[in-house]
Amino acid sequence: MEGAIKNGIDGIVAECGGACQCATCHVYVDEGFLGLLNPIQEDEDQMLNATASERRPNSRLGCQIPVTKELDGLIVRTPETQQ
Amino acid sequence: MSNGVVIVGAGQAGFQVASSLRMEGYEEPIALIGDEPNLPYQRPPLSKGFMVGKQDIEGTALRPLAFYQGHRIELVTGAKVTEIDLVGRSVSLASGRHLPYETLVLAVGARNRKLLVKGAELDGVCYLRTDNEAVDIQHRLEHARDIVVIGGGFIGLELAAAACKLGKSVRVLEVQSRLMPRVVSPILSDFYRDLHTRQNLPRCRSVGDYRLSG
Repeated sequence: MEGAIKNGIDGIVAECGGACQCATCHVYVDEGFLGLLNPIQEDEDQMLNATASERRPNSRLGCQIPVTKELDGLIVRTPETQQ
Repeated sequence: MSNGVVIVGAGQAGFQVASSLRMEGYEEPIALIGDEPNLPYQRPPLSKGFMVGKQDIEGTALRPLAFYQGHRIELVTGAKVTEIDLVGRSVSLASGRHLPYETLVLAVGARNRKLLVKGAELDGVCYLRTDNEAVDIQHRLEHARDIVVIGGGFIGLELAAAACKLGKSVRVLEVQSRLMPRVVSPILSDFYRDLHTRQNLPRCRSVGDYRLSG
């Protein structure tokens, strides 16, 4: 999420600033990377039920994905809308 | 092309108006005017993540400068609005500049209440609202041992908890009879008081007309 905001990706709104409280940094994670991500916690799970575009099995909130070396090359797709 | 939108106040709300207008396809000029010197930023982290060192002050910026340039949002920082001409539809700045508008948005936010007690002007008595104030407090915390937080609302308690995490001795003073009286019910006030006390976080008391000395 921070990477998107700092680099002008309009598809990420991040209204709450990365506090897992708004679901406007919703992304669809490329299937190949899903297994490398940290698991979804309860608060993220609840927020994912409130996304503007449909929740899919590969839905995550960008702000809850800490970027690590292992995630180099990570591909995520932004949803049709965040709001 | 019209004179577009002039937004007075470059906090979260002012920024969001400008951003949303562009995201929704608004094409006319947008000027975002703020009296603080830095890029529009988020205030919530100032009393917590930033204070405990989890986030640097640059990281609180809502967007980098390139965002405003790229979206044709004229960002005017460090500028004070001195006059609004409702008939002529223009805003005057202290610098002498005039900005005409089609639509004016006032997103001027709030101010901290000033502490009207003796000694409030002493060194070491700080207010927390802006990023610069937060940076100042963070520097002072490095050398401080005892912290008194005046105000047992969200911000006061967050700052108190952050100072505790930094190993400081902290007391919270609240003028009303319970914590966060304006925003939560008595049950929640008790819950937070117990939570903070249990974790050896701040001790909470009420304060009437106190005097600061030093």
